Amino acid sequence: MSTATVRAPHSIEAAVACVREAARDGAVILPTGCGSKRSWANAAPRVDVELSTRALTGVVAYEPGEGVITALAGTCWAELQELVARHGHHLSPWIPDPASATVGGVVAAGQSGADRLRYGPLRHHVLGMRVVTGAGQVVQCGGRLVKNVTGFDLHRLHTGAHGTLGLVAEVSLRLHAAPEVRAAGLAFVPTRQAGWQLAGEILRASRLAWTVMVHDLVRPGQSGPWLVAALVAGPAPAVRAELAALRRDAPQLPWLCGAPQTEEERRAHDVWSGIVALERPGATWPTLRATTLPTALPAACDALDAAARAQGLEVKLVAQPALGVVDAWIRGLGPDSLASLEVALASAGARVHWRGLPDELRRGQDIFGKAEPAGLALMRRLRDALDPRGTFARGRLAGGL
Amino acid sequence: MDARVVEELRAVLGRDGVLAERARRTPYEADGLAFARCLPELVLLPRDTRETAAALRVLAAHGIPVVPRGAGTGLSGGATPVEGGVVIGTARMRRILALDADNRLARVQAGVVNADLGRAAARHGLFYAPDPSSQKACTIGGNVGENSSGPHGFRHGSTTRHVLGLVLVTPEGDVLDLSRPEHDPHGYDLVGLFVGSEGLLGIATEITVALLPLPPLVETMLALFRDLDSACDAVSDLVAARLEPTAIEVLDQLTIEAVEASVLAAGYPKDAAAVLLLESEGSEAEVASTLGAIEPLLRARGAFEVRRARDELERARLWAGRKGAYGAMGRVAPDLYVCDAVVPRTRLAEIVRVTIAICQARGLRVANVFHAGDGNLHPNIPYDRRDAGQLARVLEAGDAILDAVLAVGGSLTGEHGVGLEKIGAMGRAFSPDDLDAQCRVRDAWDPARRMNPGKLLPVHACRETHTRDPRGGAR
Ligand SMILES: Cc1cc2nc3c(=O)[nH]c(=O)nc-3n(C[C@H](O)[C@H](O)[C@H](O)COP(=O)(O)OP(=O)(O)OC[C@H]3O[C@@H](n4cnc5c(N)ncnc54)[C@H](O)[C@@H]3O)c2cc1C
Repeated sequence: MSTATVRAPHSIEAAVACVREAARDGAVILPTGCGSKRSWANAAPRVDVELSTRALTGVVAYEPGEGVITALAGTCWAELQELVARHGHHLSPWIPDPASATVGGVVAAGQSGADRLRYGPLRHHVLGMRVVTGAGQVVQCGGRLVKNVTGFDLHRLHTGAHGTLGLVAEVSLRLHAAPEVRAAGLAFVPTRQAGWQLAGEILRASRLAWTVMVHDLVRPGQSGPWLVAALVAGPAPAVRAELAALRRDAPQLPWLCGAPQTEEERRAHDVWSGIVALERPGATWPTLRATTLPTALPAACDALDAAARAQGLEVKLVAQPALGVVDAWIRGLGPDSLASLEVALASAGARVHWRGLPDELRRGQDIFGKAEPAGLALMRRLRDALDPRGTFARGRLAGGL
Repeated sequence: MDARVVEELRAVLGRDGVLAERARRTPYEADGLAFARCLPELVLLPRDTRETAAALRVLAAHGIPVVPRGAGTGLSGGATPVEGGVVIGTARMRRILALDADNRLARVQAGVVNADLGRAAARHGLFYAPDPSSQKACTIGGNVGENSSGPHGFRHGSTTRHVLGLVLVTPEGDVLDLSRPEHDPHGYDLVGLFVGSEGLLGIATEITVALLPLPPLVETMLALFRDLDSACDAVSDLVAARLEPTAIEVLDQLTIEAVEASVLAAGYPKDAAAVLLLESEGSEAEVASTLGAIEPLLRARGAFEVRRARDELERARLWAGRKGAYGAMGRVAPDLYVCDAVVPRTRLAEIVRVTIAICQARGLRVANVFHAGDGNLHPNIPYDRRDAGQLARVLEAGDAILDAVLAVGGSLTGEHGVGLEKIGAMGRAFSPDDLDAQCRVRDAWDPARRMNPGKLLPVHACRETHTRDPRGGAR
């Protein structure tokens, strides 16, 4: 890995030239953006060329009246966020590390955000892309329109493929109306059970929630407290009406929602920043993301807790009950504890994805767990069809893809 | 069809599952693209995944082409039979297998009718969002095939956003169970690729879909304009103002006349050259603020009347009129060519004008009723398919419209699919390399190219070097 050459083409044409050259030499390419999500995929057994998109930057098209933006893959996510915000748009996913993320990286890693409850997963916002294939062709997938069913949705294959099918060179994304007002609700509860219950009450009363989280603040040897956090955003009158309903149906949750430029608004914003940061994996401890059906989440969290305790690990859970997602921040991991946590979660019916594991733990692991994805044989055929010579580094996704 | 093949199929599907008599095959000759017709050799009606797989294995062994079919309401010829091929219909796969209100999802057989799922969900306070105008007849399997949408797609998106999982049978007859709803797919997003694949990648037999909570309040608003241009410009303004109602539909005068003359008369005013039909859903405050922000923009573009449906009954009538618009056009001419294309929402009025001019120049009438908020145009051309000259002019107009749409960065289809109808235009929308990538994907799923051949992908675009079927079945 350390011997890989780094190439950073300034244009799609130059990227094509790099790929053709690598293909000619039988070299293996690893596409990279800022590298912030490298640990979200398995370590590639072999990489000869790191094809960085850091010089492949810029907005290709943005007409605010259309609500779509197209940018080259290396464009910084934060830059796009700021640009569209100036025109009243919100760019989803809302991610914790926008300054160190590129458009291509977010899309290739399939990164959804803390606004997923409201806007859905990343794949719903990707309208199309241009991809450089292993044969050095530039392929247009999808388009730049909010609605389009022409041909196969190849962009769905590339979204979340970690560049194993080609270099995502340009992406078109659907934008949303920026919310007028943001409110934050925070409450401590004595047990996790009480956390689920309060979250359930919020979810039943809310249509505008971006996030509802149950966050474990447990210290070793202590139980509780638990933090329930909810973020609500939208047009001002709608948010105000919703907060009134929430105050009635979930009275133990106090809300911050101040008029612009007030202290209360500033505090609400601080809470928002704190909440999105909880989605940041691997900042301090490696993260295990477990996913299941919402109704199965409490049992999965209990199983995870029990397994971690048995291993003497320190764990903090951040659960998103409506989505069936829990992120476990774990300290003190070794190869054996990885496996036993996976087993515990699998028996509770959850899928695992390790993020932010240190390289020595990541090597020789399948960070997507041991279970093969359904349709693996077909996935292999698709990969071989799109990159027959294996120009793009393999072995990085589930099942050795 | 070889009698032995028929017997093998009867052995797996039973007598009722194999339609061989000519009279029983005739209804399957065409779908909603009425002028394209071909009598299928057989029609097969499996009852579940197991039977579908067994039938596909028999057909694979004999190299027989297959066309999947739901209700046959598709408008691009996706379900038109192919020469020497059979149709596999889902008409006997109508069961809702599970409705899990707590997790807000349902698992249905592919032949379940869209509106039936909606009714079942409503009993739990939920709804299934994609609402094609044909929802009383079309199937969830067909919706998956086309990645269909409807008026409320403006807010809720097309079918692909709502499909969580699938059980599908591959062209060789293998069952692939992708039904587990995945937060994010591990590996590649096969479900996402399958949705909208127009029957080329296999047959979906079971579909897991997301359901949404019914909104506390829904309000429908009508805005009347003296010309179509202003209505279109108003839509561009609403989009630019980032307002988020659930639906923004345009109906023009010819459409209104046809609706009002039909049993679906909904009280659309006949003196308006164009009507905008808008809907907003949510809490009372949300709806009030959305519609309150919309109204001045409509007035600024010259809406001479803006009113809200008084009650649920009027709402239902307005929507019945909108959704019955194609049917109502039957009063204008025996056949209707429904064009489907998407343009940037900043250029609606301009392109609508161009489509009208294209039709007028060919002596054709055109009725516009479309999903304006998404830029999804439907210039509908009434015609009589027995008049060969007229049909030729209709097709020529359709083609010219596609050229105009492509020229401004639009797309060939927003919801009806490419099918047979637009296969000739694919080479204008995509480069040879783009099409080659799509061919590679098709060949990875269906190396023999036996599923719905001649649809969606022009065969000449497929470079043969890497696509030979090891069994020599490539066409
Ligand atoms: C009056 C009218 C109004 C319409 N309004 C709309 C609208 O508002 N929005 C919209 O999007 N469409 C609309 N349509 C088009 C049509 O109804 C949709 O495309 C619908 O989804 C087709 O469903 P179907 O069950 O009739 O499928 P079919 O027409 O039978 O098949 C459609 C395609 O899907 C494939 N297919 C069918 N079932 C399966 C399966 N189980 N697995 C794999 N492939 C399958 C077929 O091979 C074919 O390619 C309208 C049509 C009519 C006639």
